[in-house]
Amino acid sequence: MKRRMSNLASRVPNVNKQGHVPINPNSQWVNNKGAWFSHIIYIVFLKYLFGIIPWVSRETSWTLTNWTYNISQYIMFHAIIGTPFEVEQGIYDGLTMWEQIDHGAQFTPTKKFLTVLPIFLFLLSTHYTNYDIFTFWINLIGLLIILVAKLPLMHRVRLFGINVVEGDDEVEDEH
Amino acid sequence: MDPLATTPPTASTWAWAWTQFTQTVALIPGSKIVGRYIRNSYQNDPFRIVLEVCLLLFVVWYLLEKRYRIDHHEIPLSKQEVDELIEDWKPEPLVPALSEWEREQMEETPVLVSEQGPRPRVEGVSQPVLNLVSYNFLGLAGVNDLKEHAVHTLRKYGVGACGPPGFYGTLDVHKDLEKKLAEFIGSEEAIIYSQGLTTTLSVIPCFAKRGDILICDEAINFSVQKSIQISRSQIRYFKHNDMNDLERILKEIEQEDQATKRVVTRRFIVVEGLYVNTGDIVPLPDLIALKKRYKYRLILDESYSFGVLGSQGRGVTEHFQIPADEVDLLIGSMCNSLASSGGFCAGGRELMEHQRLSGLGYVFSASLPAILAVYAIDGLDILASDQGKTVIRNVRDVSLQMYQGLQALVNTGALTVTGGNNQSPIIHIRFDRAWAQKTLPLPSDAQFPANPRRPLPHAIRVELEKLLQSVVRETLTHHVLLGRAKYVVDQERSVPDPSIRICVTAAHSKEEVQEAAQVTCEAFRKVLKPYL
Repeated sequence: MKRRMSNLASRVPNVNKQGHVPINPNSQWVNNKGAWFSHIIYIVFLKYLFGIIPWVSRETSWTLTNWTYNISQYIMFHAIIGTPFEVEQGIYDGLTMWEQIDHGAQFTPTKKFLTVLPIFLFLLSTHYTNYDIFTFWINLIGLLIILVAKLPLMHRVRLFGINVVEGDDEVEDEH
Repeated sequence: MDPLATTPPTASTWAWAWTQFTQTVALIPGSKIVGRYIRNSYQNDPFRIVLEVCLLLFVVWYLLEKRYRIDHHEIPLSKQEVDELIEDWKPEPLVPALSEWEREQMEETPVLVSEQGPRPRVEGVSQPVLNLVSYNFLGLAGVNDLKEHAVHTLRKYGVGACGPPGFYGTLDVHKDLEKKLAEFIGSEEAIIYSQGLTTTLSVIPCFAKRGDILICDEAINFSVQKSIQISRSQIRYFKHNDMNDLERILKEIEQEDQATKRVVTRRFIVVEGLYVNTGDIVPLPDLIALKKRYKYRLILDESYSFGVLGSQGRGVTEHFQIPADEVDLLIGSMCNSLASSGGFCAGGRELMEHQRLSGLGYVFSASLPAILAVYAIDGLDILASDQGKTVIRNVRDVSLQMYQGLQALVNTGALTVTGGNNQSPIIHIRFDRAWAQKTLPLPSDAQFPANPRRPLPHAIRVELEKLLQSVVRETLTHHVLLGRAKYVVDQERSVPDPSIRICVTAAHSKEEVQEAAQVTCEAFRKVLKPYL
C-alpha cells in the first residue's frame, strides 16, 4: 500500500510548475475583444485600400488583402520571439507570440478566433474573385503557411532553423 | 407550394427523400439564394470544392476542440486511486520532532544578556566573555561616538524609512551613503540595499537570466548559491580557487560555442573576495586576466572582505592593487565590518541605474532605516581616515597572532587551520579527514567519501560536530566564546566539513587573542585526549 502511494505520487507533476502562471504583459492584451475586433477592421481597411487603387482588378485586390493579412499575422505571431518585459527570469525568451498566448495553452478562444479568421478571409476572397483558380492557389499557399504554424503539434517546434535560440534549455547542475 | 400536396414516392425511396429534403429546405427564407450560390460556386471544379469543404471541416474541428496545455502531463486518477492516496496520506507535523543532537544544540545556544560587542555577557557565565563569533571585524559595533550619532539620527528621522527607495523611501542619508561608498571604493556609482544577505539575491538575478551562463566557485557562500539558483541561468562550478579548472571550463564553453554556433549570451564569473566558508582569498589578478581573455564579466561578492582586506579596507581589489572598475559588479555587505545593516553594489553607472528599476530587492523592499545608513557612513568615515589604517593593521596582527597561537593544533596532525596567515580574520579549525578516519570511533556504517571534495555523510558529520561542540563548551568555561560554523545542510550545494569558525576583531588586544588561542588549544587537547 505504502509503496503504491509513493509510486503514484512520483508520477504526479510538480504542483508549483503547474499552478503558478506568471502574467505576461506581452501576450495578455491579445485576448481582449477589442484586439479581436481590430483584426476585422484591419482586413476591411486593407481591402478598401487595395480596392481603390486604379487598374487593380478585384482578384488582385483580394489576393493582396489575403497576403498582407497573412504576412502581418506571421510577423506578429510567429516571427518575433521573446518579450520586451521581464517575466520570471526570461521564461518567454525564445518563444513566439503564438506560443506565449494564454501561457501556451491550446484551443483557447483567442487562438480559435485567430485561426478561423484567415480561413474565412480566404473562403470569402475565393468566392468574391469569381472562383479564379490562379488566385485560389496563391492564397491557399499563404493560408497554409500560417495554419501550419498555428497547429498544436508545432508548439515549440522549430523548422528550417527559424527562431532557434541556443542555450535556452535549463541545464541541471551536475552535483 | 404546399409540401403536403405532393404525390407519394414512386421511383425509389431515395428520390422521394431527396425531393422531400429540397422542398423542406426551400421553405427556409433565403434558401433559394443559397442554393443558387452553391450551384454557381461549383464551377465544374470538384477538387476546389473538396478543399474548401476540408477547410470548413478543419474550422469545425478546431472550434470544437477543448482547451489543453501541451507541457502539462496530468495523470488521470480514478476515484478509487484518489481515495487510496487520501487514505495513505499522513500529515507531517508542522514542527518536526527534534533529534537528540538538535535538542542539545538548541539548549547550548549562547544567549547574550548585554549589548553586542567584543566582550558581551552570556547567560550562565559570571564574567564577560571574549566574543570570537561575530563578524564585527573592525570592532565598530557599540562604539560610543557612533552610538550617540545614531541616537541623534533616530530623533531626527524616526525608525524606519517606510517605503521602497523608489517610493518615498529614499532619504538624503541614503544618497550620501551611496556617494561615499562609490568614492571610497573608487567606482563610478554605488547602490544600497536594505538587507545584506539578500543583496546578491537581488543583484545577480537582475543581470543573469535564463539562457545566460554563470561560472561559480565551489566554495561560494550560501547567499550566492541561492542567487545563482534563482537567476535560472546555466551554472558551472569550478574547483575552489583553482584557476586551471576555471580555464578548463572556459575552454569547454568556447568549444561548445564553436560547435553549436549559438548566440552569445551574458556570461559571468562569480567569486567571493574572502571566502567565509574557507577563510581564503580569491586570486584576483589571475581571474581578471582569464575574464578578459575569454570575455566574461566578473561578479565579486565582497561581503566579508570589504573593510578587512587592503591597506585601507577597500577589499580584495585594494589587496591586489587592482582598480575597482576592473570588477564589473562588486557586491558588499554593511552587516559585517561596518557593523550596520544592508548591502551595496558598486560598479558602472549604467549597471547601477539598471538595478534601480530591475533589482527586485531595491524596487520592492523598504529602504534602509536612516539610523543604520548613518552608522554605516560613520563607519566608512573611520575606514577612510588614518584611524582606519591602524584598525585594519590591528585586525591583521591579531589574525596572525591567532593563527600562530593555533599552530599547536596543526602540529598534532589532527586538525587543519585555514585563514589568519593570509590577512583573513576568519579562521576555520577543521578535523583532518585522514586523521579522523583513522583515529576517531565513528559509526561503522558511514563511509568517508573517496573524493575529498564531496561532503561528509550525515552520521560522521554529527560525530565531528559533537566533538567540536565539546570544545566550544570547554572554552566558554574559560570565558572565550567560540562558535561552530553552521549551515543549512540540506540546502547547501556541497556543505563544508564541520569547523569552529573564529572571527577576530580589531577590538581584541594581542594578549587577549593569545590567551584565547591558548584556551582553544587546551580545550582541543582535553577533548581529543583519548585519541591523540
